[in-house]
Amino acid sequence: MSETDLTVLLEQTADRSPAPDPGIIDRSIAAGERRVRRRTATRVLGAAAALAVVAAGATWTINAKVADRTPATSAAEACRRDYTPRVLPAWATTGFSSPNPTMPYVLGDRGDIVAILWAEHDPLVVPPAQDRNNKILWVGRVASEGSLQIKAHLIGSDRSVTRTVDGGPGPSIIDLPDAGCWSLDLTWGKQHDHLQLEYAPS
Amino acid sequence: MTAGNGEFRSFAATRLDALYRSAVLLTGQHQSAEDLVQETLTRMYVVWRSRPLEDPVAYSRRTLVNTFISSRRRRSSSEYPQEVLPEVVAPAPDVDGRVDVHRALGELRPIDRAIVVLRYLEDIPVDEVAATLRMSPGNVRVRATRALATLRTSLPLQSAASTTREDTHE
Repeated sequence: MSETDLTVLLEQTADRSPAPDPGIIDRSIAAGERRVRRRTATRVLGAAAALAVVAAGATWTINAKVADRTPATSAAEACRRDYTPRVLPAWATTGFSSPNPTMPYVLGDRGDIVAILWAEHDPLVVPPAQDRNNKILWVGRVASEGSLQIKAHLIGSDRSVTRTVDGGPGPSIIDLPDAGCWSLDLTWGKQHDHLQLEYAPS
Repeated sequence: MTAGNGEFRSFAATRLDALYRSAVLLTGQHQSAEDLVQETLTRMYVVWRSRPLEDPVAYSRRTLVNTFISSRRRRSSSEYPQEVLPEVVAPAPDVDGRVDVHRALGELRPIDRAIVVLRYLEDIPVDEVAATLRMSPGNVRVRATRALATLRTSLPLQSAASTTREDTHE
């Protein structure tokens, strides 16, 4: 049997096999998307865990220092200092061990991003607290390339600053210069959304 | 559907048949071949989403054979010898010798099966087969020669029909 004979034999054998199911392509893309989301979530949680380690040394008690906080002047009703934990949107739950993770969070006006916070009361303070960071986990509904650009404007003032989260929505520490209600324009890739966050005086 | 998704879908549609033909000879079974192609395209899609591929066709070929070889390693490590052989029904050769070919290929080690498929079905040059399997061209030649000798023994009918001509096939 020559090499050419073998080639002919292999081709004939392959030709006799039934045609592959074209649905393989759709199933591959769907499975690939799930893997991409899982990997992204793993990276996000890994980075979040790293942030948690940085913040360690301090005790992250959800109710810490709440009682003696002075109420801040909030320029908009959307800004809050208390965040009742709620079940996250389904698209923002990837990577959480619970099927219905409950966290304090703020949903963007367009519903395309959530800012997950790490305390129920005054999660964000100015100046940054000694015992914890102004940690925000951003999760976008749609994955997109590029960094997350934040244009923050202090409502009722002319104060504006920008912040960048490298790698796009993910774990971040966002410190802002003044206490008050901040309006955040968020852009990542071709996605855009807006939300407001209160930074309380520490 | 993103633009990248659409491009991948087009690419996969053009490669589906070729990948499946190789897969069916590697695995010897229709369903296993479809599973192998699906896993190959899934792995490729993840990479496709993250960066441009210089040679997607070669990448798909490499992913297919490496996925096959690694799956056989996993299967091998998860199989245990038993005192009593499980009851099996050996497939009988059909009239056109198709089962014979699958059985003969099944007697080769997975990596040698991959070499045979790449070299003799897809007609890939030795150097490219070597790059795909990350081995030296000399090693590919030696393995291909041994595999061909094994197949000659396993496929006596086809061997008898052959001539003494040996094609270089390079």
